Amino acid sequence: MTTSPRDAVFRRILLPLDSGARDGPGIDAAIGLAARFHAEIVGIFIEDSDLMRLAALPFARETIPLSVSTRRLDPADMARALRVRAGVLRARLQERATRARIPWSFHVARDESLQEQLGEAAASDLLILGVGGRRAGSLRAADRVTRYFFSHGACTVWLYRGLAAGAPPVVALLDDGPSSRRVLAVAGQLARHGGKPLLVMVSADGAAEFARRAGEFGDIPTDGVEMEFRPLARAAATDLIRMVTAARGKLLVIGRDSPLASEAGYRRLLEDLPCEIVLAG
Amino acid sequence: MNRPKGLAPESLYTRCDPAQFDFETTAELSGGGILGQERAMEALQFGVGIRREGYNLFVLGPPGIGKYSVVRHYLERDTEGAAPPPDWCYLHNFDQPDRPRAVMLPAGRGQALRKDMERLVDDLRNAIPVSFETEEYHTRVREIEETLKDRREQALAGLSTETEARGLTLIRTPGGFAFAPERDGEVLKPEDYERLPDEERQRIEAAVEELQDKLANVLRQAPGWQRESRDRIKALDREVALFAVGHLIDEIKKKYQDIAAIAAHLDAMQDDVIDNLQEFRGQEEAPNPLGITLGEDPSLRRYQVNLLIDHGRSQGLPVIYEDTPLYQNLVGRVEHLTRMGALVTDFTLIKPGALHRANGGYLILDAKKLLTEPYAWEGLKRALYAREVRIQSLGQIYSYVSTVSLEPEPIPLDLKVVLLGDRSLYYLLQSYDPDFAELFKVTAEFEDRVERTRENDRLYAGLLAALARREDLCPLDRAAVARVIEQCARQAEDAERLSVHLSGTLDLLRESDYWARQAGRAVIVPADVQRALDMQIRRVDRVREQAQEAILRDLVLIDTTGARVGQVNALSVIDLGNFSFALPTRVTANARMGEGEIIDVEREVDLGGAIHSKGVMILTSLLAARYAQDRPLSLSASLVFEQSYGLIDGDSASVTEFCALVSALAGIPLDQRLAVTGSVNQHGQVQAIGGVNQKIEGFFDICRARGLDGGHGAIIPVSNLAHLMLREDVVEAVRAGRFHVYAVGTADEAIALLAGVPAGERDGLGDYPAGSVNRLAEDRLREFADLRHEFAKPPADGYEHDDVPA
Repeated sequence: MTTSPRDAVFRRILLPLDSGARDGPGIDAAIGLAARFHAEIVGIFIEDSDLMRLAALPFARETIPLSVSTRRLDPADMARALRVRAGVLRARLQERATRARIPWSFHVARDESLQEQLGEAAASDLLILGVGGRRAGSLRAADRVTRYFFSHGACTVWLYRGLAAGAPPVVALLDDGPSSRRVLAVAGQLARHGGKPLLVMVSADGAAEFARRAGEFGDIPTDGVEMEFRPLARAAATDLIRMVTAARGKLLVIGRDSPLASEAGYRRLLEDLPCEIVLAG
Repeated sequence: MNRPKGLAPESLYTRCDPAQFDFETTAELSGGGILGQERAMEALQFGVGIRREGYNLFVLGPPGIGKYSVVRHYLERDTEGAAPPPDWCYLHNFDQPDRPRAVMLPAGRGQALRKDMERLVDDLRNAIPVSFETEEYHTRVREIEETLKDRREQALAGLSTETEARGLTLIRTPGGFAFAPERDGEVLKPEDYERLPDEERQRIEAAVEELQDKLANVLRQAPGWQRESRDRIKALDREVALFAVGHLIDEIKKKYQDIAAIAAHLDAMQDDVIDNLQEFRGQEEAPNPLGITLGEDPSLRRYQVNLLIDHGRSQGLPVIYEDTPLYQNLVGRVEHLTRMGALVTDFTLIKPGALHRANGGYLILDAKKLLTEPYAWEGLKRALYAREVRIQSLGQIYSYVSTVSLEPEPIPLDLKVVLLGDRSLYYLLQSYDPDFAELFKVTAEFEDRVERTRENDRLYAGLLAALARREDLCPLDRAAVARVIEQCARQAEDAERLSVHLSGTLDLLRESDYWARQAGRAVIVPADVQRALDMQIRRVDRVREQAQEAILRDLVLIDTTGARVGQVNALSVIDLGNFSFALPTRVTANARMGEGEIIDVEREVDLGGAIHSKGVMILTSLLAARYAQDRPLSLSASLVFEQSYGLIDGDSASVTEFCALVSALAGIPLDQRLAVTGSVNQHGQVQAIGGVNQKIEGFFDICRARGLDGGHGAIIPVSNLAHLMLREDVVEAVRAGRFHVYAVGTADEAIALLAGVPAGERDGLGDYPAGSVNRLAEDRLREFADLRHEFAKPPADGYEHDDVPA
């Protein structure tokens, strides 16, 4: 099968949202991509059962950063707060999507239905995961969702950080994984609107292998996107970070089956690369 | 008695001899300066030369005399070649934005500064965003942000680690943070928690409490970290901006290092730019919900230069004439723009007034216009006293409005004001405004007429040449020049004077030029001048024609033949503003016995002016003194201007009234072929009157229309002889013996001419000759006195007349 940039058009974008504070920019990024690819947006607000359990504990107190004060938590207040948060996010998504004339839907997922809804959402082309989330100090939002998609999902995941979303130049990493063609297709799509060449890094041991592997991808229709191939020492995160930084890359696309896309791998990339990261799958 | 001979035709019109001129046409004449204004020119020279406070000028003289042209020409010539005064501009005041700074620059450098500042702002708009888009800048900002983030995350991570070590987890809730016991990556369920041993629960709760305190400590530090981070970014911005801005501003500062105010302004501007970098960095205009174009970015206008006065191209000192001396046209104003329905302003909307434009030179103003514009005179005086121009609206001065506006710094004033006005205005100001004498110490008075000498004729020819050249008119041949000079004498109503009323003369030249061109001539000849004069009258003499027609159709009764007792033709002038003419008016008198009262009917019905009444009283006194020195003036008489329905004033008919009254007394008919004008004094002397030429011509026109028989004529005061500049047709009629002009020195001479008998003089016994007019009049008055005396006696029958029984 030949995968071309045209084949990689995102038709359905899944946007998981939780009670974290950073979802506004994520909505805007999703709207921008949906408008570009004529896709629909599916917003899912995950009502975290941990929060409800926390609120039911007899000593549970919440520390409020704005006033540095504490208050007693109870399940009713927590449920109300989550409803309010879901309502706010729904209204925001509706307002942005209506203005951009983008089809949209919004769901609230509870523990009992989460698995089912995530399963349905897994059919989406693109998942946008905001960085940050329920667990303070962690780098990932909605850990349960993240874990689900890393274990079950097959779609492309955008680890959204709110850094010049989608701005060129786009850098694609082609390593040994089977998703390399998909990586190239997704990167081509994202680069197509940027007006700058797509920088393709091919992991290879030596010039001969680089030439061979670059040649394998030479038949892919580029749909007008100019590509520049460069060699990268085999699967080395340090080298990748150095090269992406040198190329001033704003968006990095790697395969989901790449060793760098493991939980430990992407944590490293998130920490050291000041750019958006897309895991193509 | 035969009438004496009238005046010779030569005395009726004083010609200007073209042969005296040594040119063929005025094209040969150069120069052509100012005629007969030596006194005024000396005053101008003095007023311009003296550089002391209050020595402003008031140039007075009648309208249309050319005051403005002369003054302007003199000032421009006087200031030619002088170094122009400095430029003035207004700059934004960064310390007090409502008080723009006034800055003085050498002439011509204001424009350069304006362009330099425009270019500087353009450069800043380009350079600043570029500086902030560099990778280095973003890296440093990210470093600062990462530092903050690291501090926060480290603090939270440290807390999180301690939390995990205690078997708990730190959770982000919708409203903040909370600690909870965790098992298998999930928060412990409440029922599981309840199943824990008491000691464990106490440990957990104590740990949570302790961790909450630690979290609070971390959170309390966060605003400080954020502030520190913001300060570091701000300092970085300043550093980057200074690097981008500093050399651009330094470049201009070097150029204007000799002007301290500009250097100070540039320093302040640099600080302002650095404090307001966002205005340069975010150049995209916010979407406007109403779709109204706001135009230029208002926030950057404060870096512009409002070049109020630019003398970059000036030659010499400014000589400014303000035609509309409104208050704000004098002192300047602050204009406003409508922005989204509100009125807004800034220092770029400060507009100069005439005082600014004339500063360093001369400001010419029409005094009447100045005084009739509200507050303009007060504003001018205030500026002259303070020696500065302060731009304030009337609303600000009089607190009509209390909205916030600008108070621009005043600009020092060093100029001379030249007011142009007529004499009455000058004397009114002298009388009623003490400030006037303080501020306008120099008076330059223009003459409206000059002596008619050969030298002045020559100078006048030069003046005509200059006017023709200036107005691009055909030159005049010397005969035409002579004809214009004659007309100027007529305009002056004096054969021995010339009017220097340039406005009227210029009109005559323009119209003569028109007729010359119509006739295909390149030179104006006397016929063109005459045509212009005739057509001037033709265009405006409809009223005269109608009035003459009324007389000729006997609608207005004027006899020009025969003789009538108590009836004389007087001559009155009708002034229509741009044209005046004269008509004969019938004056009649009736006399009977009475108690010495002479009724002036015009006065009785309030149609007679004060001077006219005075004339009637004088002739009453004359009658009494002449005929009734030793007995009561037992006369009751009435005087009427027949068919006169308007106000009558002046005493030029008092000789006429005297003659009519004496005729009525003496019963002597008076020749109706003659008309009389002149005023009489108590001794019977005839005095000069105005409009003598029009009066003679007015009667001549009627007589000619009815047919001149050689007996028609006009009697005028002998003192008016020097004023005669009669129309050519009148002179020709006199030359042909068909019309006459008689000049009389006394009322007796006038009545003798009218009555055809001598007036008579008292002999050695004090009697008038028998048959003379005076004798007849005196006899009649004596009869009246006797009769009155008889009436005054008690009746012989012992009854008072009123008591006679029925």
